[in-house]
Amino acid sequence: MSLIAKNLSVTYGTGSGRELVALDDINFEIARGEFVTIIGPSGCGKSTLLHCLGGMLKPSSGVVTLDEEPIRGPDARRAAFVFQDYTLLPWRQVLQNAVLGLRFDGVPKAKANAKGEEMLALVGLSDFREAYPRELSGGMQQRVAIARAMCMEPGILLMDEPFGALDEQTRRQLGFEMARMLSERDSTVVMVTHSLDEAIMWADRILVMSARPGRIAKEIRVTAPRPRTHDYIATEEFAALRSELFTLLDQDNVSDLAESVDR
Amino acid sequence: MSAPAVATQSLSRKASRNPTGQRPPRRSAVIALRVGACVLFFGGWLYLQGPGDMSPVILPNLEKVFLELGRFLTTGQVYQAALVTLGEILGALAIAATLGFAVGFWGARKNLRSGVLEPLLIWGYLVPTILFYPLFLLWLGFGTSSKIGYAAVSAFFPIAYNCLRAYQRVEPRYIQVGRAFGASARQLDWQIKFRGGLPLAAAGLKLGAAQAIVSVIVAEMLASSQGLGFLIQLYAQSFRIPSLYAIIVIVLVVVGILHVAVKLLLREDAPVEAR
Repeated sequence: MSLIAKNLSVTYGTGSGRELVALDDINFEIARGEFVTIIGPSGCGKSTLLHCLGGMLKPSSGVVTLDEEPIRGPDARRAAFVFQDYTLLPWRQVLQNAVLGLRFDGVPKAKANAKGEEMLALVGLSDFREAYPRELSGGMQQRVAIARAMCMEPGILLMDEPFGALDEQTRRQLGFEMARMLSERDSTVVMVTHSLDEAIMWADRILVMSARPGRIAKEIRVTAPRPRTHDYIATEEFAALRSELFTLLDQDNVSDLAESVDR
Repeated sequence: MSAPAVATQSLSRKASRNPTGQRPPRRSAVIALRVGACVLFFGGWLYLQGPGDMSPVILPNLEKVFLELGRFLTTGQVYQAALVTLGEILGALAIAATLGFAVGFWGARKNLRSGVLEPLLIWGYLVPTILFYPLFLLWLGFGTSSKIGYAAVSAFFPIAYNCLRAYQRVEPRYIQVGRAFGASARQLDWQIKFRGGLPLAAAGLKLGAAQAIVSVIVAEMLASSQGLGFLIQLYAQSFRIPSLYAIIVIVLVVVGILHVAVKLLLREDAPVEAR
């Protein structure tokens, strides 16, 4: 089982008749149970790539396959999203938000709710099943968004800067918890982030993207076993990876790198 | 990198809770001020009718107004009139809400439709529909139908216009979530778009309700033989000023009841699961 992106390109026509190449010939493969993070300068097409992987956006050329079946449109049972910011439906209670995909899919209420309760317990929000999203903090809302995706038991979980809107402390805490939970369940995850620490902490592999056109500039493997503890931050490996990423993401270096890929 | 985004987020959330940074007023202070306003109002009235020497045609004797009100409330004639008026308002509102929602929701689905509809609806909103009331009298007669028809048309425009705006502007994030989690076209329509646009559509319904109330009462005043508007016109023409004031009080109560009803109907967070 694996997700394969093959010759993926996305081109937008702009108003002035020029073409904007958002993604240019992206190729990679993700194995079952692997945790991959995608990092790159803003505007490099990270989110565009993730949307292509989940079938929310049709690539201009190339193909995404999951278990050798091409992805042609959104299907949360195969690839479920955790979006950036607050995407819970404000008029639905927490449990009803969590079971959204199951209910759309026609799963009977009782069965869907049981699954929803299970996933809410997993993210530690059982007590809030009847709360409305606005009664929850940002971090709690994102937990629900994760439960909503996990309810679908997806082949792959696609996370688009899931904690981007949270403060550093909450973000780190939630990150550790969720990363452990996902590792224990052996979930396959692709996560877009703009945080160096997040990209390293969670990942088996980091895809570093370059901007305009968006390309995979480099792949970095993180060999330390997952789930990792806070202690990992203090290791030399972490420091070395961090400084490597930092240098890579310096705008000039990324474009240099892209050019060298060009040739 | 993420720090500025976090800062604005938390700032804007706080700001939305308490825009001026003031503490909420004490309940006792609010009540005291309300009582004070009542005392001032009725005290002013008593002063004007006594030492102020105001003409009773402009300001009738307060006691007489209350006596009239008491008489109305015990004889029952006014209940029948109130029922007629309330029925006309609700009938008009039901028609206007159904058509307005249908037009707004349908129109918002395609840019071409909304492009054509929006200016028409604004125009209909701005035109004084009272101009067309004589036509309604010709078409539907002197009875309740002409009031319902006329008020339905006046209430239709604010409702349709606001529904159109509401369903053009449903938060794209919610639609994205719907798509990502496999909503069918129908589920997307009813469980995401309909609910997402509801707050603004409800605001339109409130405006429509206000419009329907005014239209029905004015229509009754202009040409009818029943309803509260008719009584207002009757007592004004026959110079029965205390009765006129008493009817106005009753109209205010009816409007208040309607207002509360609409508010309850459109209670925020009512867990609606449309099918």
